[in-house]
Amino acid sequence: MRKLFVFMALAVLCLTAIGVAGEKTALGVAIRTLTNPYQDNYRVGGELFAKVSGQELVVLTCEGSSEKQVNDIKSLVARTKGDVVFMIDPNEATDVLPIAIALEEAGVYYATWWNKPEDINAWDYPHWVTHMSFDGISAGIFTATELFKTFPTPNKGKFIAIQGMLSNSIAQDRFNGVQQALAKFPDVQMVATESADWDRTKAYDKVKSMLVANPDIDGVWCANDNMGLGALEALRERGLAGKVKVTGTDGTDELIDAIVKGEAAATVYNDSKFQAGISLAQTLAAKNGKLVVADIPKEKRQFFCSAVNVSQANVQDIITNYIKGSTVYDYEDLFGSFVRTME
Amino acid sequence: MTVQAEEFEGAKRTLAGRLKETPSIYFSIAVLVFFVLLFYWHEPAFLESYNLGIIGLSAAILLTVGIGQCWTIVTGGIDLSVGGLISLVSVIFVLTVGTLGLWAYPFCLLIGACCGYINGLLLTRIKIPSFIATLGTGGIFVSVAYLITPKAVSVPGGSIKLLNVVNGSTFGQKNAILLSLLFFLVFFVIQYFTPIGRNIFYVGSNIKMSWLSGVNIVSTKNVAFTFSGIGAAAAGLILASRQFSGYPTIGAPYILSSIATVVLGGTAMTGGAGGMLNTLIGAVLMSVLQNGMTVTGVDVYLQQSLLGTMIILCVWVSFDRNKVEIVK
Repeated sequence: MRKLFVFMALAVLCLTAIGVAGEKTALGVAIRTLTNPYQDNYRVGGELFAKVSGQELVVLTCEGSSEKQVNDIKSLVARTKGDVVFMIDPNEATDVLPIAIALEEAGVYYATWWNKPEDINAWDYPHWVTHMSFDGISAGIFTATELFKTFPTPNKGKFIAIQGMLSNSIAQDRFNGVQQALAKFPDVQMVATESADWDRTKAYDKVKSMLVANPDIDGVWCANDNMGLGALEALRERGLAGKVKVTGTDGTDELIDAIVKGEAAATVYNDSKFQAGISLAQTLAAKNGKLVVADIPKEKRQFFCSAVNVSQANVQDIITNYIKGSTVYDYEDLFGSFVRTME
Repeated sequence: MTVQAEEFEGAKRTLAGRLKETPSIYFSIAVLVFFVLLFYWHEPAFLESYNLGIIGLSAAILLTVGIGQCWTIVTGGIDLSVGGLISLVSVIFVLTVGTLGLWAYPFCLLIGACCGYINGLLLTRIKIPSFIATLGTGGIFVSVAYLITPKAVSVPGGSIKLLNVVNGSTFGQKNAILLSLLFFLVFFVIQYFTPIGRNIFYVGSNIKMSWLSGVNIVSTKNVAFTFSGIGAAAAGLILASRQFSGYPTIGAPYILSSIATVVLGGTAMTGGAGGMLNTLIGAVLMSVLQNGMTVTGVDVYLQQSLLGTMIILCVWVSFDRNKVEIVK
C-alpha cells in the first residue's frame, strides 16, 4: 500500500512538468529528432517565429517512428481542439498521405518540406497550404559559378564534377545546374564526372583516381558537402588543397570552415530556421484568413525555393548571422523564396 | 485477552496477505485509472472521442505485437525480431496487396508465423538463447526488407479501398481496434481454454517439472515463438494499412515498446506469470502515457525521460514478485 502512495506522489511530481495550454493558436513543428543540429534548428526557427507572432510553439519529435509522428500530430489537434497549425518534415516521404488525411479530417492547416510521393499533390487538399523543397538547380548554378571564379585565370580552366546518387532527383537537379553554368562560360571545361553516392569516402577514392588522369585541374565541383570534404582530403594528399578549390551543398560546419580557410569555394546553406518560420507563417496566415489557400496559384502550392548561398565573399557574414546567430526573417513575404514550381 | 490479540493480528495478516495475493493485474488497472484521471484532470479534451480514437489506434498496434511478445516472455524467452518482422511484413504487404488483393492479409500472417517458427527452431533445435537468436533473425528480416526495397513504398492507389479492412469502421468503431480486440480474444481463449496455452505457462514457470510431467518442451516453445511471429505480422499489417506504406525501418521502435507493453501489464520477464489480459492493460497504459503527455503538453525534451520513469514506476508497482524468487 505504501508503495502505491509513493508511486502516486512521484507520478504527480513528474507531471508537474506539464505546461499549460495557451489561449492562442498553437504552432506545431513535427520533426524527426532534436539530437541532429539541422533538425534542432527547426525548433529554433519555430521559436523565432513564435516570438514575432506571439503564439505558443509545440515541438513534436517522432524519433524515427512514422506512426508516432501521425499520432503526435493528432494528439496536438486533440489538445488544442483544432486551434493549431503545423510545419511538418515527414519522417518518410510516404507519411505525407496519412498526415494529410488526418489533418484534412480535423480541418487544420499544414505545410510540409522536402519529399512527398509524386502522385500526391498539395492542391488536392484544401488545408495543405504548401509543400516546399530547396532548389537543386540554382544551388548547382551558384556553386559552379563561384568555383569558376576561383580558377587561376577566372572563368577559364578545367574542373571535375562529383555527383550524388544518380537516381535521386536532387542529384540530377544540382548537376543540371552545373551544366547550365557551363553553358554560360565557354572557356571552362568539365574534363571528367563521376558519382560518389553522397559518400565522403567514395568521393575521396574517386577524386584520388581522377587526379591521376587529370593532374592539372583548377577545381572540383561536388554535389554535397560530404563529398566535397572527401575530395578535399584527396587534394590535400597531393598538396593541392587551397590551390584547387572544392564546392559542396548543405552548409555543414566543416565545409563552411573550409571556405574560411580558403580550401573551398562555395556551398549552399539549407536554413532549417527559415524552413520552420516560413511554413508556420504561411499556415498561420491561412488560419487567420489573411491567405486564402484556394486563391494561391497552383504553381505556388508546391515549389522549389532558394537557400542561402555561401561563398568566400559572404562567409563571415553567414557565420555571424546564420550559424551562430539568427538573421531577421521576413515573415510577411510568404512566397519570396519561390524559384520554380514542383510538377 | 490473548485470544482477542491473536484474532486482531489474524485480521491484520489477512489484509496484508490479501493485498499480497492480489494479482498484479489489479495494480496495472489501478495505475491505468490513475493516469487517465490525472490526464483528464489536466486536460478535459483527453477523454473526448477524437482523442480516445487516437489512443485506441496506437494501442491496437501495441496490443497485437505485445500479445505475440507476451507468449515468448511467458516461456522465459524474448523476441527481439518483432521489429524486423513488422518492417518485412509491411513491405511485403504493400507490394503484394495490388496483386493478391485481400489474400495479402492471410499471406502476410503466414509469413509471420513461418518467421516466428524459425525463431523457435533456432532456440529449441540449435539451442541458441532466444535473445541472441532473435537478435540475429531480426537483423536478417530488416536486411531482407532492404533487399526488397531500400526506399519507402506506398500502397498503389487502386488498392487503397482494400485497406478498409483495417482503416474502415464497423458499428461506429474503427476496424483496427476491433481487429486487435478479436486478436486478443483468440489468444485469450488459447491461454485459458487450450492445452497448448496452459503448457506454455507451465514451461515458463517450471521447465523441469513440466518436462517430468510429460509436456513436450520443444514443440511448446516453438508454438510460443510462432505466436510471436503472428503477432508481429498482425501489427505490421495494421501499421502498413494505417500509414498506406511500408519501409525497412518502420518496425524498429516496436522492439522495445512491445517488451515495455508486456512488462507494464505486469507480466514477469522471468516467465510463467502474466498473460493476455495483462498485455491488454499494458497496451492501453502505454498509449495513454504516450498520448497523454502530448495532450497535456509535456515538454518534448522531457517526454522520453518521463516515459522511462513511468515504466520503471509502473513495473515497480505492478510487477508481481510473489511468483518470482530472484530478479535477474
